[in-house]
Amino acid sequence: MRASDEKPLLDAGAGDAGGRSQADVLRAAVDGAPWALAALYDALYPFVASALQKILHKTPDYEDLVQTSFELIVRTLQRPRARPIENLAAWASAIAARVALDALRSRVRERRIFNRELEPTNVLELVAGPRLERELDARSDLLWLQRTLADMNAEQAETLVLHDVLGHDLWEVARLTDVSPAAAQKRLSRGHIDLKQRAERRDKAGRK
Amino acid sequence: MTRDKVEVRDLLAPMAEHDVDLDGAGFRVDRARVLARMAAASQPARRRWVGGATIAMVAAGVGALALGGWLWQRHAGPARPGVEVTVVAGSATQIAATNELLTAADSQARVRTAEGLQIELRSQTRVALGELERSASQVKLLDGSIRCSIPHRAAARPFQVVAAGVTVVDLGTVFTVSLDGLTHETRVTVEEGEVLVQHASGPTRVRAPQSWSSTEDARPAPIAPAAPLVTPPAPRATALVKARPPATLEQEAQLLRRGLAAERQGRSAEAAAALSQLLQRYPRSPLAPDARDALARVTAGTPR
Repeated sequence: MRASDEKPLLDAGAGDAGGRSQADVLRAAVDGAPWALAALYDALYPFVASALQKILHKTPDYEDLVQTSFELIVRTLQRPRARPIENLAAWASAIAARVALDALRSRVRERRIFNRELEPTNVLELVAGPRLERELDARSDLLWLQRTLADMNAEQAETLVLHDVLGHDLWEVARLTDVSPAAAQKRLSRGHIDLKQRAERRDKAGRK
Repeated sequence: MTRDKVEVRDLLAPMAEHDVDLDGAGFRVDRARVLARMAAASQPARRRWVGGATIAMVAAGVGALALGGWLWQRHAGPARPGVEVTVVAGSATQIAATNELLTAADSQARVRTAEGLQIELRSQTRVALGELERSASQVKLLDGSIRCSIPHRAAARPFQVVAAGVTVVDLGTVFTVSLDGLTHETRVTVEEGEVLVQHASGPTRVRAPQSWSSTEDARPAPIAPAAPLVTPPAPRATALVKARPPATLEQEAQLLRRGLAAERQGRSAEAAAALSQLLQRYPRSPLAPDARDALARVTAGTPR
């Protein structure tokens, strides 16, 4: 048993999982024990929700994506790991971030994104708001960013999101993406350059 | 902070500075349902490849893509946009060369089109989606079981399921088609509306809550004679409704509907009661497989 396995599950300590170590809860969750799955869900939902909401904002398939994230969490726990999960919350948010980025890519592939954003209900909400122009700009900036992340190199996009959106430090990002800190730094740096170049192109084209 | 860093921070601000809402109306999550999916995901993965041809194709590496429970949406080549595939539980495999979708054991997938047509693939099911992507008018069931929910359509061509020489033409309905890949028995169960089953000996209309099977031997002998509710079947076909009093089937359908509605609304105890009642009273109901699936989902969850 390694040190990180002995700590309680996110210090939640509530319900049926109370007093059990993280390793115990994860092992029972892999075996499908309802109390362990419930404890895992309750402990990790805020981090999964945070990643999904920050990347996608309000989305009609939010519940589906939460389900997908937690299925993936359970399935990933089943796989053998070279080292223990140091930071369960960060690990879960990284899985949710992947799910969100994958959803963005799928939407862009289907050309659904942006064309469907200004649906009548959204337009009505905006018209009713006092700062319509600013809200439209904010929405436009978000849609551009979503499309850009979906279109970027997947590893760089993931690194950018983990570091700059979700706030994980470089060492954590390296652990989460299973690369060396130097490789994570390189991905981050290249991601920044790509993002800025795309923004410059957008600005030259008149923010179309 | 350098100018570059400020610029990057500003570009990412729409996400980084977005407030998270755990309890808002737009972010409600059915906890019990997620827990049920987690329980399903914790089952050991057991794969049963369907048919030697599939194994050969996969072995040859012709584009099979294991998805591992990941949500994905596809839009391949000249296909119509808007065909969306979601792996609901377990895993599914796409064979690009044949445009087929397979679900593994203990897995479920869902196909949706822009027109609102929804097809649920049960476990160990294999369908060909090519025609669906071209015209949204047809899906070919190669093995397993699919449940189709068809909205009222204005399209020139009705939606149809083709399975082992049997064509099920939708007339605005919800129905399930099952095909045994070994015996080629095709079974159709109509939950709502009506379908037209076309087979070697002619068409048969099947209305809710009736079932139809292509193989006489697939079902036990009728318990009691009942007035035929469908046109006389072909020699190799059996209108299953004959074996069951219609009033009983209606009750079965009502129990299933009540259970599914309660499940959707998160009332697990009520859902479990209705589904258990259906299974206890009518263990041989054609709706029993659906009831068992739903009951498993409900009981696997831990309601808040």
